[in-house]
Amino acid sequence: MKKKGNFKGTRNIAHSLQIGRAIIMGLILEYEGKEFLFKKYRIPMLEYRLVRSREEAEKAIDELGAPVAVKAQILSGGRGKMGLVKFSRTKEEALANYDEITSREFDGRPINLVVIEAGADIKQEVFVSMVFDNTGNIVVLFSAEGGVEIEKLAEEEPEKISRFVVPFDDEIYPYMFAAGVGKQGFTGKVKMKIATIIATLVKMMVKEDLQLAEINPLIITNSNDVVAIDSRIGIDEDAMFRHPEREEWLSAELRDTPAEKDAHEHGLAYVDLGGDIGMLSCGAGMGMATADLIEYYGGEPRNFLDVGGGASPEKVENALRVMVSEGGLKSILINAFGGITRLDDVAKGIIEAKKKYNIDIPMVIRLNGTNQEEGVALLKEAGMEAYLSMEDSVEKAVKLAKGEN
Amino acid sequence: MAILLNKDTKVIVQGITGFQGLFHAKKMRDYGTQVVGGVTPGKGGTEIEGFKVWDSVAEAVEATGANATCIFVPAKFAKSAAYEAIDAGVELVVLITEGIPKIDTMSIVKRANKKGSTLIGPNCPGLITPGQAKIGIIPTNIVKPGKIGVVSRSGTLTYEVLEQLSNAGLGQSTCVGIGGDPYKQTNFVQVLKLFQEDPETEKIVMLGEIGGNAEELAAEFIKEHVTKPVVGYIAGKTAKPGKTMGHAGAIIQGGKGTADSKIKTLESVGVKTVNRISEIPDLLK
Repeated sequence: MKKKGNFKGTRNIAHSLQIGRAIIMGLILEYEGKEFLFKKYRIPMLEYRLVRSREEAEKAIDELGAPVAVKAQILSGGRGKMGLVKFSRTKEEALANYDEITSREFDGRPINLVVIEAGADIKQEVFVSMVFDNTGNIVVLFSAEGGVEIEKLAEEEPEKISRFVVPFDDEIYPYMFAAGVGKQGFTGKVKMKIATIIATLVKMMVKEDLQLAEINPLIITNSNDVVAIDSRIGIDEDAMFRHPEREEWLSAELRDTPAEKDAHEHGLAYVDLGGDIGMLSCGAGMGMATADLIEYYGGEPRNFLDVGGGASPEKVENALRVMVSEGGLKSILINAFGGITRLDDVAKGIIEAKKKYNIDIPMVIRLNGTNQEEGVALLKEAGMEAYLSMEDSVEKAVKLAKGEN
Repeated sequence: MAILLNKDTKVIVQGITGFQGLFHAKKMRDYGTQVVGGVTPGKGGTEIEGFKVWDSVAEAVEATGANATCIFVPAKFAKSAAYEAIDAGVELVVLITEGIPKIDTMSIVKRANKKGSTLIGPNCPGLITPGQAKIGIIPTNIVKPGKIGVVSRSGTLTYEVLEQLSNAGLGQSTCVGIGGDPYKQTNFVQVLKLFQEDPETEKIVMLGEIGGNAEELAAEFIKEHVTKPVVGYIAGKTAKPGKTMGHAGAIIQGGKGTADSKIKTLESVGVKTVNRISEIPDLLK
């Protein structure tokens, strides 16, 4: 039997962990977390340099002196497992590791941002991670067993993880975390140093509009310093208006695929799904339901592309431009239910896009709702048909993608 | 009866001089909703399209006795707009605005809880009691009065379902769009409770999405407290883990929060679920 203690059970812990691990939206680079947040909040770190070329890497290695760690800057956790963080004992080894890492790709892009970090005398690696739950609390997880197998630990030995639940608007002090950190075997100054870092991260979550703050590993050195080796931070992209400088961060560029970026700039939601049926919807839930229906009929959506409610002809036109720019489409499905959306506007956007971008991929259009008659008439004039039922249109789009008629 | 909203509810619109605010204020009024005026700071004392305008919610409430508000202000100003409605004692606060920072939403929820306001949203289409009144942006031509309670996390998907229900002769008691954000006060559980207690609601349709655990909590509640038949649909089977599908709420959390796990959980407490929304009306007949 596992000890329950203060825990609400393994499931909750694993759940909290998974929230932290799954948020890709808003993730920033390790370098950015350290440079723009940890420095500001005085979280102890090792010396590091961001390098973009072999010359810069060599200079950084000389300045910091081997041993060093060579760390790829990508928007993902699990870099160690992927061989994208490499400890290097000598300058030669560090340069070889730099060459190896920068010869690789991640998420379809070359890796060209690397951090060179000074070596450390590591006595112990610990783990701290926090996210908001859906009830206005911050859930903090802390374990004395840092490293990559934290999910496994949560499943198998939950008592090795201390869990704190902090109301988001409480005043926060290190003492609140002292007992929980102590439970994992820490005493005296080290315990309080860890508790202070946790308290700082919690404050940062609120003040900086973060979604996720994680340090794995946080290390204890032989001289009993507590130092952040990593930073894994997710920002709330809805709060950009309070932090306009974040638009200029390197991660803003890396976060989306080119099509996703293009879409977001035009107020569209775009997610790459990998199939061959281009899909456009007016509204996110409707988009999801349409994608599901495509799969139900045996097809594969290429994308999730949502123009939202009340889209203008220009928005629809832009959406189709983004869609076809990706290539690989066998059919296009436009599913528009007109609530706030006016279907004549949708039709205008379709006609314009078809002309402008010479779209000759078979297109299935479903129009139902506000200004439906006007929309259908416009399409007819341009030699296009419209379906009334969502299911019929989806079935047709799947057939077309399979080369049937 | 119905829930939350009826023909006697007195509604103000915050952001009434904005394009969206005015457009939908008129639509609400056209449907028969008692829209008693609006609020735009700095434009108090003026009138727009027959709506009186006040500078603050407190002044509007004092003058009109409004007990509900519909907020259309931009995300930047949503927190203070919601705060002033809550502080003025407005019972029903409907927050349509999307893209509000999480911290702001949590602060709004906390204040609403403390002062006893019911908060619907943010990032929601609002609610409609067919034949009586609506607050928000749900189209009125697709609903009809009846006995089906509808609660949904989505906007347009709800419209699709409402239309199919109405076409099948299944009218609705009230339809509540609870919104797509993960943080909110009024979730499935709160609305299910109201539908269960409402004598005019006979059956319930619940439209969920991937991400979060609202559907799982709803299942727990249904098991203990709901005796009326519930039909469920979960959108987002095709979602890739980690990417959001337009709604911040639709984040897949590892293996949990997926459409399949939600469907399984709901089925286990007796909710009938469907793969296609066109199957919903038949299950309600």
